[in-house]
Amino acid sequence: MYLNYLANVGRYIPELLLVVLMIGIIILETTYAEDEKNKKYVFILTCVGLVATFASLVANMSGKAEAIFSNSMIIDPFSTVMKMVMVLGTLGAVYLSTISKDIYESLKTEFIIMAIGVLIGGMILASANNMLMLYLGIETLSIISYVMASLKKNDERSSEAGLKYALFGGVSSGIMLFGMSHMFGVLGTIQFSGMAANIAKLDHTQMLIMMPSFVLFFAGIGYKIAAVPFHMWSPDVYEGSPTPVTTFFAIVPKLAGISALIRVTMIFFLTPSALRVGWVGLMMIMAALTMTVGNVTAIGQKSVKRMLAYSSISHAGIMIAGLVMINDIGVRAVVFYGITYLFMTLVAFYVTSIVQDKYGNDHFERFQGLIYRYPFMGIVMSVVMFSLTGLPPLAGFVAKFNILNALINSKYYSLAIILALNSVISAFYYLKIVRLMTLKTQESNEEIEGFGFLNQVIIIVMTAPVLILGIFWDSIMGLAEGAKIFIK
Amino acid sequence: MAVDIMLTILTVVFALMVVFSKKTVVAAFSLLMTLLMIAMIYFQLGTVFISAVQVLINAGAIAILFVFVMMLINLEQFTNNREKSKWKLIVSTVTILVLLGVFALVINNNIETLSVMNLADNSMKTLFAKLFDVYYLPFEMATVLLLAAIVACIVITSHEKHEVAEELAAAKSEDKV
Repeated sequence: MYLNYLANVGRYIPELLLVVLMIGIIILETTYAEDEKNKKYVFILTCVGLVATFASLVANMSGKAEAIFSNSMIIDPFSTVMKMVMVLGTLGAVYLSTISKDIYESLKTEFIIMAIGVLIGGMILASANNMLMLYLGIETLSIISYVMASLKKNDERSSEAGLKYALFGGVSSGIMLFGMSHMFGVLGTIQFSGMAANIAKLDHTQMLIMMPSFVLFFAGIGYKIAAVPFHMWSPDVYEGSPTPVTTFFAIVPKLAGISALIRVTMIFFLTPSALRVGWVGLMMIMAALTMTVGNVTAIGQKSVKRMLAYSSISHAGIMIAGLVMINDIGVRAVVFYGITYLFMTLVAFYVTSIVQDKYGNDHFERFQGLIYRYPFMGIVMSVVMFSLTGLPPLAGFVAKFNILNALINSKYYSLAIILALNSVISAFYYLKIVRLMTLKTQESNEEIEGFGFLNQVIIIVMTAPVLILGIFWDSIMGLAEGAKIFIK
Repeated sequence: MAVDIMLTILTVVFALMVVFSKKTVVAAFSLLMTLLMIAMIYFQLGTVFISAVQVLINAGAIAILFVFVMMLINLEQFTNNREKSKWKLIVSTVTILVLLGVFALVINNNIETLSVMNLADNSMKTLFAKLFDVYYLPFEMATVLLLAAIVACIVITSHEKHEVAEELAAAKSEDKV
């Protein structure tokens, strides 16, 4: 048994690296004086650690899929790809935190420590193979997120965001645990594969008993990915939190929740049953509502950050829509969507954050005439907005097209129509930024320090995948295609 | 069996009192009693260790903490003034109906849910053997969670240097006035 554990550690190196990195930064933070030089070292150490994690994940890709640690975690290409996306997202958020003024200078190291903590939770969630690990992942993700939301301690909205997040998160964890305990009571095991095998044995009455518990379970995950009607916390939290934290929240917890949802759906409902019909119906309604409510509410927003928060809700809806057919094509489409969503979100938040640092707020008017002062940034932001809308030849189009394709292949026409209509609605508010940037004259000629040479280069490099993936998408698609779910 | 039913009824009654009692202190003590009753149910099932932990942590620490906080702050402002609305009534009715339906199904179909679990062997030795064997990874990962949570706690409670400086400056300017 103990030897078994040692043998498994080899596949668990990415997570262990992150744990070591977190402890290392804590030690650095507590032992060395807080000055510019040490901050730089902390940042460099974080970058090295995250890149090493990414490299070990790449190394993990080539190994065969297996269940480790007495079947409680699964290391398969799917979880590895999702983890890679999360690591990249964290790296992006950490760099943004070093240049952002929205986060207190003295709390930047703490932000990095907590971001790595949340990342570990997300990685646990992405490869959890039993209810215990799933819950542990969600809690690691949540408890630290509450504090991250209220990092701006003197700001009322930030404190409100943290409290709101904590209350909503606590209640949702309770609801989910209640559902889980029901499932455990009926199915007699917490192992996903064992539960799936037991679901197949249930008769109709027992299925009926299981349905409310699955709804409760879905509610817990729904809170994490901010699916309507569990999205109420998300705009306030996204707006109140410092921008780097918002960037982080829009990527890591959301993708972690989505990957947990994918795994649960793929394991429990692969075989047709009454429960599967209920679950698919639930997800269809949830996807349609999430897309529509997110998009329609985003139209009326004044603040770009809040608009992006609502738009990220609608993107979560699109990702859920890619799950309703419960097959490999859908999963592939969602993984690809996750990869493109990462780059689009990062660029949109980077530009917004830098503009916000300059003017103190992030209303739409602040973007007026940006393209005349900073042509590259204007073009990059326009590209990302077009891509978020889903216009060809950008990555957003390919991602949306894949999900539409998967939906139509499985004859979910109504959901496909709703998705297409939602793209049209989203064009309204995404293109509003493009219109303000290009057609309006600028308010002032002041320089924005954030758009230094280095930052512009970084933002352009992050936009490159949006362009490249829109045209040469087969290579990443191959990666997404290899991301099969391993069931044991 | 009679003891089981007694305990169940008592738990539910105390739980309802938590929600419906008008006085906050009564609600807190009802919560304490609910947790103790749940501990008794665990004891009845033979899981002695979990029962003891339930008393020590949930009843002993958390519920007492509630009462302690109530002692420290002014209670007058926390009278239970709940609004009554149509929606609440509808939602609660539907919830109760669903719960009753599930309950009826369970009873009607004689579903023995707990029989899968082996409740005979509940000594602490087997519990910890499991903890350090099958559930070793969750156990270790929980420590990571706690470590990150400690950092989070420090962040939320600590005073910033610039904050202190600002306070000092504010105090000085007040002195001048």
